[in-house]
Parts: sequence; structure tokens; C-alpha cells
Amino acid sequence: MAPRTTPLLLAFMVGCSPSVAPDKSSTDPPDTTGDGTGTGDDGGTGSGGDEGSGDDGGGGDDGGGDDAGDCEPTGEPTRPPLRRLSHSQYKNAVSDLVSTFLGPEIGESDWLAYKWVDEWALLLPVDLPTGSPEQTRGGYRRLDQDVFQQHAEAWAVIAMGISDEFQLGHVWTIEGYFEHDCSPFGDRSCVDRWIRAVGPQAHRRPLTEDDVDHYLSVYDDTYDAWIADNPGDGWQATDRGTVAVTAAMMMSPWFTHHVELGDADAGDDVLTAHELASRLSFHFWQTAPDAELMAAADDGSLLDEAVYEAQVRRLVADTRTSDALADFFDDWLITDHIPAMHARVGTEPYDDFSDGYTPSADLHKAMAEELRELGIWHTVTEPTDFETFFRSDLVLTDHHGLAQLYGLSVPWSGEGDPPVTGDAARAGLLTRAGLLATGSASTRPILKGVFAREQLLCQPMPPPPDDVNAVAPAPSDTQTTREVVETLTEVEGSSCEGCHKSLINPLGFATEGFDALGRPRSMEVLYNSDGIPVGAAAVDSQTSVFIDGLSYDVADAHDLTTVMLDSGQAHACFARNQFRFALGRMEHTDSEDCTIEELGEALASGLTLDEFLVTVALLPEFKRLARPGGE
Amino acid sequence: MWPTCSRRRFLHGAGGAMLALPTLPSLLPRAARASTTRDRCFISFGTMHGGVWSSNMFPDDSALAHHSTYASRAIRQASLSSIASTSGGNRVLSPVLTGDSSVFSTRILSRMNVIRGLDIPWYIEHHTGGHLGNFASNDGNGVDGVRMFAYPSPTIDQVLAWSDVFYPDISTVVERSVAAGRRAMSWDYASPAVRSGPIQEKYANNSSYQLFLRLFRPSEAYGDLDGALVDKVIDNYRRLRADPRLSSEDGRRLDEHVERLFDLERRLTLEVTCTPTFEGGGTEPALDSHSLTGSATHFRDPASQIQYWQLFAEVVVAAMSCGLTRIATLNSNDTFSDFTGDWHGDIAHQAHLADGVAQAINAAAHQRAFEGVFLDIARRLDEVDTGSGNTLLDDSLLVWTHESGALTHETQSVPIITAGGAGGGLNTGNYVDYRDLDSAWDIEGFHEQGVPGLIWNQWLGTVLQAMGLDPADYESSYTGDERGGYGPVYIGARYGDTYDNAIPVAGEPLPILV
Repeated sequence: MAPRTTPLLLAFMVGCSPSVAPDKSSTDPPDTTGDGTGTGDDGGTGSGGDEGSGDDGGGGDDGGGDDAGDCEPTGEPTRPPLRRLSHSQYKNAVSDLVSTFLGPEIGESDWLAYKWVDEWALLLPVDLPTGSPEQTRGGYRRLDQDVFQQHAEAWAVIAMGISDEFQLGHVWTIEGYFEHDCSPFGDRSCVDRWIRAVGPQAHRRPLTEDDVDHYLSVYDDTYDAWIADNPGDGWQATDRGTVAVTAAMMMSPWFTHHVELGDADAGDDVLTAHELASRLSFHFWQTAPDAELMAAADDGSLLDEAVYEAQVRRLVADTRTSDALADFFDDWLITDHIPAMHARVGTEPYDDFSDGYTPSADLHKAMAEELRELGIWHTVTEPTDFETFFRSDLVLTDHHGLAQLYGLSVPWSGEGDPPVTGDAARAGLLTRAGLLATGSASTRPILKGVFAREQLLCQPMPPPPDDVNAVAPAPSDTQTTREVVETLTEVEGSSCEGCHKSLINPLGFATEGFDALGRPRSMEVLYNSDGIPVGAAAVDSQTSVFIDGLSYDVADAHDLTTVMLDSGQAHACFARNQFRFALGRMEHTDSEDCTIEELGEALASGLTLDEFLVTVALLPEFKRLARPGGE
Repeated sequence: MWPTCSRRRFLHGAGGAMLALPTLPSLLPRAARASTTRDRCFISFGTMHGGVWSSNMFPDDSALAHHSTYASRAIRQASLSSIASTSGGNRVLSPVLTGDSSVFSTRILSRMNVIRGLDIPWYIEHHTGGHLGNFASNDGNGVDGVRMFAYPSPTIDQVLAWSDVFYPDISTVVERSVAAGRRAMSWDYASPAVRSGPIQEKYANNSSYQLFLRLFRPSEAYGDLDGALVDKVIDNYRRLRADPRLSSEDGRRLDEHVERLFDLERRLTLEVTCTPTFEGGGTEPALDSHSLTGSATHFRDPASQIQYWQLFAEVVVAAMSCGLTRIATLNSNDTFSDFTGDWHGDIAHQAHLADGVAQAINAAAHQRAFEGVFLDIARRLDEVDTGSGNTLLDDSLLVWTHESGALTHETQSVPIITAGGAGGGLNTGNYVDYRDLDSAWDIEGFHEQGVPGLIWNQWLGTVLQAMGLDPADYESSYTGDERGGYGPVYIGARYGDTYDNAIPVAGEPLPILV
């Protein structure tokens, strides 16, 4: 399985000077399992085409760099076997199902919301950002496919909790469902009818007679068991029987998992209409198909290309897509790594650096929300193309403190057009506070560089050499942060120089025109070891960045933004990430890199982001049942 | 009591067709094996980073005396009782291993070991799995780490958890193992009962109260759910399993989940009659650990962090005293410090500096972890009388390990502090040093030398043997190595032949300790 990312993965504070290994000649280590590959010089997951790495873009699922090259798909993609619903998907599907079982007033009730927050949140394991096995940063929560004992138990507890809550009302609820045309009390055929009516939503497909028989047996067994102990208590027996059916449906594999078996009559890799409906709905809305989508699946019209596209557009246009997009931007931009900004308030040099601005305890959360809202705005609220999003100067925050960092005295009210930042130096996404702020008085060019390289250009970094001793660049009273980093990591001939000088540092240096709270600056205050300011030095954001094998001189964040966009790599990387998110798996580079390249080109040609979402859902890959592979 | 829908019935499937599953060890006739072990318990406490200078972590070297020659080195040993001193109401072995004498008693001292000279002999950098043997669980910030991604293994606590030797009878066991914290340091197969599926991180309980409910009131959490309904749910899974369109990989996932439903069914039948008394005299914990983490100050409040772990310790030890579980892992990423800055960058990676400023903060934090968590667990265990003159501490093995050795991210001499005799499986009262002092090398920028020890795999094997397992019981439990110990044996290229003397003995129990 893919290793999990942890907050400590931002340990890329590399200082390479100390030698910590014995002075031994390099020899191959003893073999471990007889694979005979020797030492780890296969660590190159380096991106194809970048300067000096010489490694290919990676086969399999390592998310290799977005380089142009031969585009002849080979091999076949695989999918994780029998995917479970993600945490968000399960929660939403339960709420919608409750509305079906017990009425919308229950499904949208405070009671249900309260139960989620107060009780069930601790029971159901959270999903963790997950990527390829080689990926140690980033990833998507919806790709997390670990299943624990706690999942089985949480699904059981929630199913019974919901069913039990309305135990004495099930009979009435069912009567109401049928507008008192039928009552399960004393009428088993009504139970049958109810199972057939609500079961399809739980299964997300029509029930078979075998399914109906199964749930009737659940009802019968429970009913009979109660009557055996409580003769004559038909009312309770009926209630308990229907409760058991409710719970059993919610615990069935068809509810808790994405069961995709395909349409054998149509071909090995063809999804059924209902499976397609589920894919669409769980991708865009993170919940089960609504009535309209189910109807299109029921009558098979969803398999018609025009009907399918119309449904895709309907889903994209619905406000429910915003929640899924929020998850996407959170994971893509790794917003959970934005550190708290208030931890060092009251200490030096942080207070001096803050210079009258006091970061609040929730500032980092506001920064994360701003990034989400930016993405949602440009995708579905007021759709634009990718470049407009990437360069956007809109400030979509209602947080006073964050608005101040953008030079605004008044935050956005949420109504009307959002304000734009007053800082001429701002260059869009790269200069968003959430991607610059560090929670300390010092910027972190290395982390910024790694983020830009991996998350925005999709070029995985090769692992550091084994003799690295990760030492954070210590603040200096004579050198700027950039100079400290250069001194530590760009020593000529050192094992650090290659990656830092070409791949990492320049991407971080270009935004050094912003301080560690994300405020524009031209000077960097220098502090002594006691946190006392002792001087200032001019910030230098000029650098040369390597992208796609070419070197570009950039003066600042504006130039870097332009270079990243003009190279097409930013577009391609966004496309790759959207592909992963939409399909719920890592791409198969050999067979799907061509598709992703085309998606990137479409973005670069000016396709709006909402249309891009439609485009992804229209891909054959989205509609195809890949063969299952290993985790 | 096994559920009515037994594994056997499920395995033989619909229509009598045998489902193609790996052999289930639990279904094989158990070899008659005379058990000479008491009900041993295992608790592992792991802390992040490390980076504690040897002079702060370990007792003074001068106390060590040559014990014997082993693996081409002189191993050294001292009695803890001869080293310890008292100062200001504290018992002191080292600056970190200091605690109030009322807790850090001579009795506890006599049941401890301080172990030096066990190495993870390659660059693992950040990791959670290394403590207990899943070396693949590392951050990949190094060629070696990336290489080890290919060799995921169950951690040794899970080897114990699913061992018929360790758990010959689980009829009264609620949980084979529990994991506490915000993330686990424990890894196992997705389908542990049949040892199949990918290796995945165990679920960690962040709420001590939820853990209490799971252990002490296992059937109460499910409302009116009963075994009959779970049987029906399992039937539903079986119907899907029988679908001819289902792939074998999908089927394996279903099988794994059915195992979980079987365990759920088992839990529904459990009645826990053991009712220990909790702090404040109640029959349940007075406070939930999760409530502490909601405070904005928790993460820079060492007292709150210590309380968090003590709440788990209370539940875990109570459960162990009742026989509800016998394995617990506690994975802490707390700093145990009121330092408000970036612990990783400002302390952990500055702790090597000669000025000692960051080191002092680091060492003090580790001392708090020792006294507040490790000694607290040891005390609780020692307060449980298991009869025959023993306490639960005598029957248990409590282990504290760090993420790194004296230099953050370097893993020579990762400190191992133990308490408990593992039911007679482990000798106690020792300070032992397994390092090969004749093979030291200088570390630029650090005042300590690098000194190779024995390899971590040997320590893990020693633990398993101390807990009653034979090597044959665990050597097939992982995708690994025949050279002994537990887990894949790998020596980082930068070490060359440094560990050549350590590898041949990796399968042996550590001398002095066993």
C-alpha cells in the first residue's frame, strides 16, 4: 500500500555538510531477499527531461513528470480492488439514504448532524492523503483504501444507530412513504413492496429477486424471533423487522463499497448504467445518485452519449460539486500542512517580524479556506480558464486578518464580486499566503521549491542522498534566508548541489519577495540569536529555474508564474491531479500519460475549468472498468 | 464462543464450492505445545525524533564493565542498582532517566533494562514502523528508505497478536491488540486472520474513552445489532462473493471484510464482567484523552500531553489486568515540551549543536516522557498482583524506543528502555552496551562518534522470543530474510562492512537479556 504522508514529511530542510557515515568504500550491501539489485541507486524517480537527472519519468504509478515524448499507450491501467466509499462519500450517502428511509426531515435534521459530529466522527476512521507507493508527499484522501476493523464496526454502529433511533416509528414511516396505501403491520406484502422501493437506493441499482428474498428473510427472521419471545406483539415485531432490514441494507457491501462488476454482455471493461451513475455521482457530489440520475440509469439512457453528457453537465453545475472540489484543492495544495501562525506570538524575533500584526489562532485555517474558495470560484462559481485561476488576484476570504495580509482593510462579505489584492507584487497562486507562510519569522525556500516542483509541476523529487543530515537552515544575522540556503545546499561538488541548485531552490527563491506571513517585502530583517534585529538586507528573488529541461531567468514571482504557465507544465500537472481525483486512482503512465497530456493541452488552449471537469468525465477512462490490480 | 456463521461454513461457500483461500492457520489442528508461559503482556511506547545526546540519555559509561566477547566485540554491562543515585527526591540513572523516587522505585529499577547499541543500519530518516519492524513505513527521504518500501512487514506486536503461542485462547480476549495515539506504529495484513492482503497501518484510537468502550463494553456500542443480523450481512457478502463477474482481487477484499464481520460477531457475544476501578473511584474513566486534544494549548502543554497518555495507560493496564487484551502500542508525536516554535526544525535538528541550547530542551522533554509516561505505565502494571508473588509488570514487557539515536535521523544506538521481565523471558536490572567501540568513526559537526552496534532485527527477534515465540513461529511472518532476527536485513551502502560481525548473530537472542 502507499505510505502515508505525515506532517513531518516537510522535513526537507536539508543541510548536507556533516558526514555521518563511517569512511567506508562504497560496496553493495548484502542482498536482502535475493533480488540482487544491490544498493539503492534506483532511487531515481526523477522526472524525465529535467536537467541532469537522467532518469526516466517512471513507469507504473509514480506520477512521472509531465514531459512530452512518444505518446503510444502501452499496457493497461489497473484499479484498486473493490474500493470502499471514502469517509465523505459514506457520510453523504448515509444522509441521503436516511432521507429515503425516514424522510428528508430526518435526513437533513440536526439530530443526524449532531450524531456525526458528536459520536460517529470518532468511530469512522478518517481517510489519509494517499498517492503512489513512491510518493511521500501529497496524495488524495479519496484514494485511501485501507479498511480497518473499525470500518466494519463503525458501519454497523451507524446503521443500527440510525435504525434504532426510529425503531418505534418505522411502521408509521413506511405507511407515510406509501401515503397510507399500505402498512407493513400485518401485511408482509407491504414489506416486500417497501424493500423494492427503497432497496435500489441503498444498492444503487435495481434489486434482483434474490436481493428481495434476502431482505425478506432478514425481516422474517427478526419478526419471528421477536414473536417467539413476545407472543402477540406484532407491532414491535414489525418495527424490529423493518429496522433490521434498514440496518442490513446500510451494512451491505453494495452500500459501503463501489461494487463495479461491469456489463459482461457489453464487454469486459464496460460499466453498467447504474455503475456509471454511481461513478458520476460519487465523483462530483460525493454521494449516491439522485433520482434523476437513477432514472437515467434505470431506463438505460445514461449509456447514450448525449444523455450521459447532459447528466455530467447537470452534476457539474450543481452546487454540490463544490464540496468535492474543496476536497480536491485541499489535497492538491496540501492545505493541512499550513502551520499555525500564532504559536510564536509573544516571542522574539516573531513579534518584531510581525511588526504590529498579530496572527490569530485561526489564521492558518482561513488561509486554507481561501485556497479552497479560490479553486471553487474559478471552477464552478465564475468559471475561468486555468491561467486565470493560476494568476488570480481575487481575495475570497471573510477573515479580517488574512485580508490584511493582502493589503485589504475590509474582507469580502461573500456577496458580489470579491475584492482584488492591492499588492502589485502578487502573482497569483504562488503568492497566496497559505503557500508562503511558515509560522515563523523565516521563509522556507526549500519547502516552497519542493511544493512547486512536486505539486504544481508534477515532477517527483528523487530522494536525498543517504549521507544527508537534515539540518534546518539556522537564521543568520549577516545573511538573508536565501543566502543561508545557498551556503548550505549549493556547495560546488557537494551531493546536495545537483537537486537544490537546479530543481528545488530557484522555485523557492523566486517568491522571496514575500515574507513568512505572505506579505510583500523588498528587505529582509536580520536577527541575532537572541531575536534582536541587527540589520536588514535586500531580498533577491532573481534566479534561474529549470522546467522541462530548459532554463529560464526569472526576476520574481510574476516571471515564475509566466514561465510555469508558458511551459505548459502547470496545466499538465493540474490535469494529472484532476485525473487522479476523478478516477480515484493513480494514473497508469504507460497507457494514460497520452490522455493526460491531451488534457493539459486542452487546459492550455483556454478551456474553462468547469468544461475541464466535464471533459474528464467524458473520457473513456472514466467510463471504463479497469482490471483490478494490487494495492 | 464462536459465531453461528463460522468460518468453516463460509469457506465452503454457496453450493458447497470450496472458495480458494489461503490455508487458515486457525483451522489447522493445533500442535500440542505445553505452554510454560504466563499470560505475558507487551506494551510499546514510541516517541518521535530522538536526538538525545548519549550523555543525557544513558548512564555514565564508566559504570560499564566488560561482560563477554560477542560478535567480535566486547559487550559491556552494569547493574542498574549499582549505577542509580538519588538526588532531591529523584532516582537518577541519567538526566533523562530521572524520576520521582516514589514512582521510580528500587523495585521498578530492578525490573528495567537500559539497552544501548542496537542500530537500524541504514538511513531510515523519519519513520513510524521502524520501532516494531515495518521498515517500509518511512518517509522515503533517502535512497535506502525508498528501497525498503518494497519490503513491508507486520510489526512484531501483530506477530504476537496473531500467534497461537501468544494467544492460545482468545475466548475472553476482546482485542488482540490496541493502538493508541493519533497515528499507529503498528502494521499488519489487511486480513490478519488469514495473513493476506496488503500491509496496512493499524487503526489508532485517539480517544481513551472510546478505547475503554471497545474493551470493557464491547457489545454495547451496537444498539440492537446481534449475531443473527451480522450472519445475514455475511450472507449478503457471500452472495456478492459468488458472483461470477467478481475478480479474484475484488473477492480477496470481500474475504478480508468478512473476517472483520466475524470478529464483530464475536464481539457481540462477549460479556465483560471485570470491573476495575478507575481514577476517582468510578467504573469508567473520568476523562477522555480526546477532550484534551481539542484545546488550542495542548500541543505546547507537556502536562496535558502527559495526561493524554496517562489516560490511555489507565485503560490499557486495566484491560490487561482483566485479560481483555495483552498488547498495546502507544505512538506519540508529542513534544512533551512547552516550546512554541517548530520542534522539528528548531529543536530536533538543532539538538546536535555544541551550544547545547536545543539539546537541553530536547533532553528535558524526553525526561518528562520517561517520568510521566513510561514510569507511569510501569507503576500501573506493578500495582496489579497476578498472584504467586508476581505483578503484571513481572509478566509484561514495556518498551520505550525513540525514532533516532543521539543525532536526529541517525539510528546508531537507538535507545531502548524496558521494564518488566516478560514472564521470565527477559532478564532485568541491566545497563547493557552492545556497541563495537573499536569500530567508531567521527561525525563531522557532532561531538559524539558513530559507533556500530548490533542490528535492530536482533532486538526484535529477542522480544519475540522473550514473549514465548520460537524463531520458527515468526520467521515466515514477513516478506523478509533468512538471516535471522525479525524483518528484512539490510545494511546501507554507506556502512560497507561495518556490520559484517553483527549479521551472523542476528537470529540469536541478545546476550545478557536472555
